[in-house]
Formats: sequence, C-alpha cells, structure tokens
Amino acid sequence: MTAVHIIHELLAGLRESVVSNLLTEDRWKMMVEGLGVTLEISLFSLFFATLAGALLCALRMSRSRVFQGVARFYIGLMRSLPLLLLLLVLFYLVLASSGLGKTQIAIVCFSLYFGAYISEIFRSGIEGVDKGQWEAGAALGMGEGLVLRKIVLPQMLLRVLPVYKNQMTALIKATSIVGYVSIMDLTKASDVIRARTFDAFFPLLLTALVYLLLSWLFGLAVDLLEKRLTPKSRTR
Amino acid sequence: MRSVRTLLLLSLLLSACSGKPSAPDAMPTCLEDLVGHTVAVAGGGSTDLLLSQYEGIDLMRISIGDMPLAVKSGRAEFAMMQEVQYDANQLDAQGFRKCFDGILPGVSAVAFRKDDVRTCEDFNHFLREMRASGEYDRWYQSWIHQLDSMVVETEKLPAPRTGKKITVGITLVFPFIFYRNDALSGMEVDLFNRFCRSKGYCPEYSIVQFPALIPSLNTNKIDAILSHILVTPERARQVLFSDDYLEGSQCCFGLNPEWESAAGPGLPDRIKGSFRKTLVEEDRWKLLADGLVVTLEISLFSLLLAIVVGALLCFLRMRPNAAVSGATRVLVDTVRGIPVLVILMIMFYVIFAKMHLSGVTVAIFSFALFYGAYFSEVFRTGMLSVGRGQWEAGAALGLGKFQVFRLIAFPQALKRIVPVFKGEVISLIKSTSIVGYVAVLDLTCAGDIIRTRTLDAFFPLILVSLIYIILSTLSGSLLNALDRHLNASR
Repeated sequence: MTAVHIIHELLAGLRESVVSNLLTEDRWKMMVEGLGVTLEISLFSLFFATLAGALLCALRMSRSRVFQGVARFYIGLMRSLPLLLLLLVLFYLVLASSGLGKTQIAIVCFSLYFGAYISEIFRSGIEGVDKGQWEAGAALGMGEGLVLRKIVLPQMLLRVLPVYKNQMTALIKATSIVGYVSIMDLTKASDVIRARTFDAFFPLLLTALVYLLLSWLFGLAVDLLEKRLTPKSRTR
Repeated sequence: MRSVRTLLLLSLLLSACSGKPSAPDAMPTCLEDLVGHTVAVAGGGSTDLLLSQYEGIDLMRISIGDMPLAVKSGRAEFAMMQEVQYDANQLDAQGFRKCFDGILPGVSAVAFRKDDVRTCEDFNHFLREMRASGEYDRWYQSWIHQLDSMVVETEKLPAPRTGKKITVGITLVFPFIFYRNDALSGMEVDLFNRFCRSKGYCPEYSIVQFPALIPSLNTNKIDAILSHILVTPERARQVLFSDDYLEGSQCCFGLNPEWESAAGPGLPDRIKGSFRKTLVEEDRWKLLADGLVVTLEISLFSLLLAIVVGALLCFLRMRPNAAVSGATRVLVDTVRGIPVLVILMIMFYVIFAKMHLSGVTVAIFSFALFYGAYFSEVFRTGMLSVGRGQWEAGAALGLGKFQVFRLIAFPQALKRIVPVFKGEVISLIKSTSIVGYVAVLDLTCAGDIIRTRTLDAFFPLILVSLIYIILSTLSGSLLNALDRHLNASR
C-alpha cells in the first residue's frame, strides 16, 4: 500500500463522514443551530456574569459588615457547588415555574456562577493596585469614586484581563453541559447526530474543533483589547 | 454550619413558593394537535424521529424517567412514553392523564452485534422454550399485575455469577429496569437473568444513556442491549435483533386539568415524607453512598494522575529544545481549549472505544489529561517565579541541576503553586459531576436516579448539593492547612 493510496482512502472516508453526519437530512443545520445556542448562552452569560461580578465585588468590598458577609457567603457557595448541580437546582426547583425558557435559565445559571469567580478576580485586581495610588488621588483632592474611575480602574483592568480571559474561556466551554437539561447546544447537537448515524468520531471531533476555534477567537479578542489598553502601545 | 441551614431554609422557601403551572385548555387527541406545544420525548428514540417530522412541535429531548417531573413543573406540556411505563408508574394517580395512545405500535427485542449470531440464537431458543412452557405468560402477567411480589422474587434469585460473561447495556426505566434496595430489578432484568441461568451466561449490567446504546454496542463496550428497544428497520441495519419479547405502543400524556391534589400536609410532614422517600424507602441511601464512593474514587485518582501528567508536561514545556516545548505547548493549549465534557466523550466513544475499560477508568484518564494540562501551567508559573539567580547560586555552590531543583527551586515554587492549585483541585472535584454523561453512576447520577423514581426533585438535589459543598470545603481546608504549613516552615 502506498502513501498515496492511504491518503486517498482517508479522504474517501472523510467524504463519507461528511455526507452522513452533515449533509444527510440537513444535519449540518442542527450543528449550526446548536452553535447559535452555545453562542447565545455564552455571550449573554459573559455580559451578565461581568455585571454580577462587579456588583458582588462592590458588595464584598463595601464597609458594611452585612454586605460583606452576604457576598462572602454567596461566593463561597458558588465556588463549592458544581455548576451542573446549580443548573439542575435552578431548572427543577428555583426557577421551575418561573416562566423563563430553558436557555434563559441557563444564562441565569452561568451568570450567577461565573459572577462569583469574576468578582474575586476584580477584587484581587483592585487590591493589587498600590495603596499609595488612592492616597495620591486623595491628596490631589479627588473623591473616592473619581480616584477609582480615573486612577485605580485603568491600572486594575490591565492586571485583571489575562485572568478574566481564562475565566471567560472557561465559561464558554462550561456551556457544553446544558444538554443535561435538554437544551440543544453544540455538544447536544453532536450527541443527537451521533445517535442517528452511530458514528462517534466525526461529530465529536468537529465539536471539539469548533470549541477550540471559539476559545481561540475569544482569546484573540481579549488580547486585542489588552493591547489597546496598554498605554505604551497607544498612539499619541 | 449556620450557612448550611440558611441555604436549606432559603431553598425550602423557594420551592414552597413555586406554584403549580396551569394545565393547557384543550387536550390533544392526535399528533397534529401537538403542533405549537412543547413535547418531551426520549432523545434519539422512535418518538423523537416521529415528531421531528412535524413542523412546529417544540421537542424536549430528555430521559423517560424525567418526563413526569418535566410535565409537572411545566417545562413540557406533554410527554410520550410507552403505555406499559405509564401504567406501571401509576401516573393517573399522580395528576396526569393520557391524551391519546396507540402511537407507533411495535415490538421490543434484545439487540446484539451483527456478528454475534450465536448469543442471539441462544436467546431466541430460550424465548421459544419459555413461550411453549407457559412460563412467558406467567412472567408477563405477574409483572403487570403483581409487581411487588415479582420484585421480591427477583431479589431472591440474583443474576448468575458463573458462566460466559456478557455485558448488557441498559437504561433505567420503571418498570422494565430499575433500582430497588440497591440492586437491579424489573421485568426485563428478570427475563434476562432467567435467560442467563438457563443458557449459562454471567450478565454484567452497565447503565448507558439511551442515545449511546447502539454506538456502545458497535464499539464493543457492551455485548447486548436490553432496553425495551423498539425494532425499527433503521436500527435493524445496525444491530441484530432477537425475537421480540414485548409488544406495545406509545401514549401521549399531560397534566389532568380536573385533578385536585388532596390538601397537602404541612411543611414539616412534607419534609419528613420527602426525606423518607429519598433516603429510607428501598434503601435509596445506599445508591447515594455508592455514588459518593465513585465520585471520591474518580476525584482522588484523577487528581494524583493529573499531578503526574502536569509535572511531566511542565518538564517538557520548559525544555530548551524548541520542538519539544513547542509541541507540548500546542498539546496543552488544545486540551485547554476543549470542554472537559467533550474530552470525556472523545475518550469514551473514540479513543478507548475498542478497549474494555470501565467508564470510571476512562473518566479518570480524561480528568487526568484535562487537569494535567491546567496543572502544568500552574507548575510552570510557579517555577518561573523562582529567579534565575537562585539557579545560578545553586550551580555556583557546585550542586547539580536536579539538586538545585529539589533543594532550592522546588520548595520556593511550591509556596506559590499551592494557593492556585487549591482552586484547581476544587474545580476538579466539582467537574466530576458530569461523568453521568458516559453512564458512570456517580453522586450526581445517583441523585438523578432517585429523582426520577420518586418524582421529587427537591430533596435529592439539595442533599447532593450539600455533599458537594462539604467535599469542596473539606478539600479546600486541607490545602489551606498545607499552605499554612509551608509558609510556617519558611
């Protein structure tokens, strides 16, 4: 058997896989719709988790003991509960008769869960900014809010972005579990295709590649943002 | 402890507040009436294929056991299951009503691999004998009419432990196959055990999600499918069906609008009842305990293996050889870019498909690989944080490279590694909760089984959550203690 022969056979096998897994019964549509759902959940959760993170961070760093305690308890809870369990609890108990759709419940779940992680990232970022910066701002006669906005946040943002990127990539990947509550996302779509074609290899590989691409693209976007935020690279 | 109580109280309140969803006005009488409604079907099953042909039906693909709960909570308006299942679950008495039946009449059979003609012949021969002797009728009638006494009988006659080994893929659906007193029971299990006793087989039952049954059979993970699987031409092309042993049809059901629940008992009684149903009845706590052991087993072994994998990858990644470190980097980034669930499925269905490895072993390998990639980065950052000067100083003292690593660099790196490592360990433990996807009966999965049997979502979920919280907290404080110990010995 020559190398050409092997390549030829591989290509033929690939073509067959593409036909049976993607073209028959328009199965590629299932994958595309699944990708749409994955993107929808990811993007909305990204947004709301960041919002929730900022809010929690504010609570956690407030002067009120009660707020601090509530935030600390909530963050501790989210960090020790598996995401899947949170999804199940929201789906079957807390939001069972709330009228929210399945996808919306998933978005609530990921926002609540990753909000806790994000808030800790924000907090460590703010705490990483030297105390002298606050004092210097105060010495210039700036209010606390102003110091935060003009001096601390820009410094903290740069520090935080790499960790933030990791956490958000984790969020995108974590959305793959929503099939557990019968949401047809990318992973579940490949599952359904596998159940029909009885071919595990191709759908799974394709799914893995798409997730890889998503993580990579997202990382690229954040890197771009990071570059723009770095003072050195700014055009003056 | 106080936080735990607060959590419990909070969730109780929430579950008490959630009202009953209203039933739809008109009951459907045929498939066309289902257009515009949400219907729960078994994912990849025959009803899934049938209803997919109708435009406008919102399909919800779940396991059959979850259907009553999904309809009750309003997630789905209607659901489809076999009539036998509906009757045996006594859903009429729980506020459900059959809308129409007789859908997809068909027969169920055991499925074998295409080339496994011998076992199939054995089974057919057994079935013919059973029908001829009248044993078949007795088996069928007793399971339909005297289920409880049959369960007891099945318990007395457990599956044979000797003979030719045969791995049987099953899905848990009452009354065909279910857990009772921590052992498998049900009419199909009873039938298959009888077959194995008479033909000299030793069955080993393995729970597989319904959509994964046929792929598992064709990848040699299992040798037979015993899952009231309907004989269809499309399936018959993939597997070898035995003679049929059950016939029936699917029915569509929804909430009964006229059903009024008897005035519910007070909250304390409800909790007590819930507790009894979830843990005490049929020894269900044993299921949870078994699940917990599996969760611990997977967590512990994959943690140890992941540390080894992580150290190895870290070592390769830090080699001066550009090819080695580059290749390692690509591997690590690839693994980190794919969801752990997809990695688990690739390992289970593709890489280890041909090998007879248990789901637990495959899960351990998957988590070891995934977290190994993460650990390697944690280790690397730790190592990089040790200044070059330390290495040079070690070399100046005449120490070898390994000695510098062991005596100087590693102890310093360790202090920086442990705090980050703690977070990763906890997320490893938590992420083992997804192994139910490849039919491993872990803690989460045990909770699922109990939930589908008792139709009570609250208690199993809260209990399982609490166990995970305790696990994470314990492992967290263990690593905190290590952290303190390391810092004290500065």
